[in-house]
Amino acid sequence: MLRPGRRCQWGLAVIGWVLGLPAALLAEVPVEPVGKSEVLPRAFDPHWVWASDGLIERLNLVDADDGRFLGQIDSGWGMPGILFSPAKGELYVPETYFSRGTRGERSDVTTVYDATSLAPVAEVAMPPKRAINPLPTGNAALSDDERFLAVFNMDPATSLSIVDTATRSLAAEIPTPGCSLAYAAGPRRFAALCADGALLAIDLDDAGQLARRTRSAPFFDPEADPVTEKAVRWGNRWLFVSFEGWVHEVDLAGDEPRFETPWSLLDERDREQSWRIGGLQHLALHQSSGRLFSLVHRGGPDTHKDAGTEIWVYDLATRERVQRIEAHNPGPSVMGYPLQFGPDWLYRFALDTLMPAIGVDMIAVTQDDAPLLVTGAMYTAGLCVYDARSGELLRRIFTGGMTAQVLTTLPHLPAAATHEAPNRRTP
Amino acid sequence: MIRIGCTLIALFFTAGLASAGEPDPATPEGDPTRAEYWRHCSIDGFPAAACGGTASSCPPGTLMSPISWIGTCRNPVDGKRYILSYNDCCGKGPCGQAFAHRNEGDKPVYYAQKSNDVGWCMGPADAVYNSTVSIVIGVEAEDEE
Repeated sequence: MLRPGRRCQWGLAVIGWVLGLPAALLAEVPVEPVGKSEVLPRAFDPHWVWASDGLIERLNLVDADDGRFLGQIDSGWGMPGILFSPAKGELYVPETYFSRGTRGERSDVTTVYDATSLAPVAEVAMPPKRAINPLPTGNAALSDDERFLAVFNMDPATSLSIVDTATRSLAAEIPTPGCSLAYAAGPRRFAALCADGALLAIDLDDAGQLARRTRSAPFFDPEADPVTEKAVRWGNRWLFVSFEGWVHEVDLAGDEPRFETPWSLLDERDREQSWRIGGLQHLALHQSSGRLFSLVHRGGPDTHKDAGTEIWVYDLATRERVQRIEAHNPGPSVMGYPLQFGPDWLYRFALDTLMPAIGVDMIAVTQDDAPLLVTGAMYTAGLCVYDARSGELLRRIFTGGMTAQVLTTLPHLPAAATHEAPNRRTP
Repeated sequence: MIRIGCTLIALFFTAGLASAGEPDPATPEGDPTRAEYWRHCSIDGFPAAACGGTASSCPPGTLMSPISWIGTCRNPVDGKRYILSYNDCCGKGPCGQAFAHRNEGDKPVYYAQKSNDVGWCMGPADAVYNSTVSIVIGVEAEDEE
């Protein structure tokens, strides 16, 4: 006969065995293979945002729906820029490297990345004179059929390196004397802006060689009121906006560029109140709705790169302003870490009412039917995500970088690539 | 009396000349290490003086780009507008000090000679950007104002 103490020990052992049995059967973590790298669930998504970080020289990919960090591409010296080839499932990133980090022998390449693995799969050597500047657009452009990439060179002579994405080789270097930057305008055409206010059209043949170079008469005054380089594309048109808020629309569908009569984003009352356009990336456009988003602030002359406090929305069919969206504080970060605190309502209250509104420097819009407006500021890696139709602030997310200086989304849904801009009233 | 008058006139002009020059270095517009320094009116970057150099010389170990953009800034002491050559210092990483986001007279990159967005570390100074000097190269003619 067992003594009471022993009985208790046996009882506990039986209970433990019964309770522990299922856990013992189920709890073992399976052995996992070593060496696996994740791939993205799909190559492209309209709500994915690539945030350029020139400080740590990389592009961070985040999902604007939930703020999830999806991956990164390291990009070498200069402001990182990225171009998309949905047809090939590829990404193109012009990159510059020095053999000793900040000095030494320079090599410029366009690196081809697989869009789902984000792994480099090829690189094309280019003349080592790619332009280095902080612009969100104009440093590289992909032809509408995704065949040729034009990369803007400046040493300080100006030219375009033409990369053939089919053969993954350099096709040509085309001088663009007196003209700079590259804007895609069809399967074989790129446009550039000239120092006298003219537009240079570069037409390629099917081998990527120069077929035709046409220089227009000046269409704006670069001394009195220059257009910014941060243009947006609407179908076959490019919209260039001047420091004083005048929109210069250029239709590049025909043999010769067609320049429309400039129209103003600002009325007299706006100008009396010192509203101005400005920012590092001050324009965004939603293709299918024809909505133009313009970052604005109140300031004097020479504030064309100052941060904005509001985003004004225009219907391009009527050229009327239809909405004003207040630019919220994206939220601070330090060394890439978000400085978030307390419950969400308290965090939002503190950012919107207690912290100074420093403004935002860049805006981007996704191109789907439920578009998002994404804003960021160079002092933080935080981004604000809005419903682009209602202007409602949906959430704040973080890029994982030290800063964000350019925001890039899928530029168009494939079907919208070549749609013609609709007719509208004559101004 | 004539001698006294001449002396007073000479003193007046001498005092006028003496007050010309740089602003008081104890003030932001007179301190080359500050973004507010008067010569930095067109810089969008890091003043070399805040990075180990001076307003007209690059930090140690960096190389000054021989090509540059040009701006004009008003000297608060004499009220004149001076022509500045903004040369980039190259070969070390971005300095990160006294960030100046001032864009007086700045033009887009297609108007390169007046653009502070162009990376001017090119040619013999083809390397990474570190900072920018603000070198006085002349006084703007009054009819250009």
